[in-house]
Amino acid sequence: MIQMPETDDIRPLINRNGPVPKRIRGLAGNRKAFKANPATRRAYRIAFLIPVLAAVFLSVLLPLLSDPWEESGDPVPSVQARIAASIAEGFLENCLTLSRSDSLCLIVDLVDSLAWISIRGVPVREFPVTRIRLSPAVAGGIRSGSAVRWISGPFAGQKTWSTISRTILHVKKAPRDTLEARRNLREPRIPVEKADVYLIMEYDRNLVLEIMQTERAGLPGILRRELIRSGHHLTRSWRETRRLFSGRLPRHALWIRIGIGRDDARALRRALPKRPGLAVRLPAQEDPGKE
Amino acid sequence: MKSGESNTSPAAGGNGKPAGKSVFRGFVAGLSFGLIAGLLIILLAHPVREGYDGIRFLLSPPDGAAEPADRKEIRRVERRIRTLRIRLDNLIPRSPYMIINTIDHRFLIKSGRKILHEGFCSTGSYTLLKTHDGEQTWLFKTPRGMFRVRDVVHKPVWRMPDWVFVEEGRPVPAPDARERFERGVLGDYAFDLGNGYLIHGTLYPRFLGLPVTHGCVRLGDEDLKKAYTYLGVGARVFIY
Repeated sequence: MIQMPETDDIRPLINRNGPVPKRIRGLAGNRKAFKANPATRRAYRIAFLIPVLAAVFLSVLLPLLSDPWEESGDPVPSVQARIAASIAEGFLENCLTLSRSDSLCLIVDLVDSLAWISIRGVPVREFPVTRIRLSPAVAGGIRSGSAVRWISGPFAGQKTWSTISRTILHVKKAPRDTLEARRNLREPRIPVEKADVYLIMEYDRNLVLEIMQTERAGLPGILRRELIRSGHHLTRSWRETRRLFSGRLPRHALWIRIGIGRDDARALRRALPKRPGLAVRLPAQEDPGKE
Repeated sequence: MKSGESNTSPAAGGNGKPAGKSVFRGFVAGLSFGLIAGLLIILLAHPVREGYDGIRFLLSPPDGAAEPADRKEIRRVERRIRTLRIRLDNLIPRSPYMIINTIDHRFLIKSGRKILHEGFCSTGSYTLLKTHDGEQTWLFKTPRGMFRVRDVVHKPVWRMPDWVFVEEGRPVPAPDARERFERGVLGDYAFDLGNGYLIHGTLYPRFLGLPVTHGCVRLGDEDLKKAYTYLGVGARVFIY
């Protein structure tokens, strides 16, 4: 065991006479010297803790202290029946608002486990929602009543991540003459699509709607799904970090995860515009809107 | 200081350098590692916050009974809900309307929520046709949204647009040239949706259920007859 000298001089431990060998030079100049010198150690610890504590404070503690529902309206009394009624009312109001627009939109009713694509208030494709999962923050928001303010007004789509493309475009060059046209003449190709579908739809007010097919996905489908999920997570984290550096608090996602059939998920991806409107009816304990 | 005597003063760094420099190096090293750790924390903050939300939700007590004032408010909201439901229900046309599904190439004729007829159709192929010099392009897609039948034509005559000639490698004739007009290719009826888009019959029933058209919607002969029975001028057509 090495005996520590009484003074702060640790030079004798390395090489009393010669210079410090290069191989044991670390970030602090000399690891052993660093270990032995309390002042250096203290400086290191303080410097390490400053950004770590700042990161914990800014990205974990402060967002939890802040109100994630702050962007919408006045508070309402936190009573379950009142909340359920207000959620049902808000949902129907949102459906009505969306029906005024010409664009296709998505309506998700988590109480009746139904979703549909709507044009001008007319449901053109309805499908059952077989799996529903809400993020703890959304579930807590329903209980506390904050979600009522959150769903006041339809959500506006921001970005969609998906395992399938929105359109399959074929590019065709016009023939020079009728001979070339005749040569190129062939029967139309029948598109056979068996790809597994997974969608992440980002909306305003921090809503992330995750749509996955209920059918069991194959290995390529699972890999693509995980790739999309990781890509989305990294993009979101990077956005939050940039937000943090620009002096604003990061916001954590309020996600809703639903499972629908593969064909319906594909129809959603292909039919909806790039920034689709969305109305969601959140489940509540006592729901006067349910018939 | 004698020669060969090492600098042993407490103010000096361990490797013979001044203590200030050593402390500075320690500070820089700590700051570097701290920044890396901080960035990692920021990237991983989301699951931590989610976990906290979950714990907070589990520990929060359920809410109590509604106050009398709340009950009054609930009754008001229930009345409003009923009104909204009626208003939303009224948006669904009672007269026959058509829904065209360009994803699965199917169509429905409905009245209210009742299905009157359904079948297969052909819709836009999503082909981008480019002229040889690349100056002009056409995208053959069926438009989406709500349309109204502007006109119903019996035994329609097709006025061929420019892309027909470009696609066949033929010279594009004058707008009113005789060779632009062709009879019998659109079936017995054509429903005009505006902007040159039609719902019409087809000479190629084997392509029904496939994306093969230049943007129009093609129906089989029997389906076209049914559509003619149900849909008049002004009928709504929803395409998605």
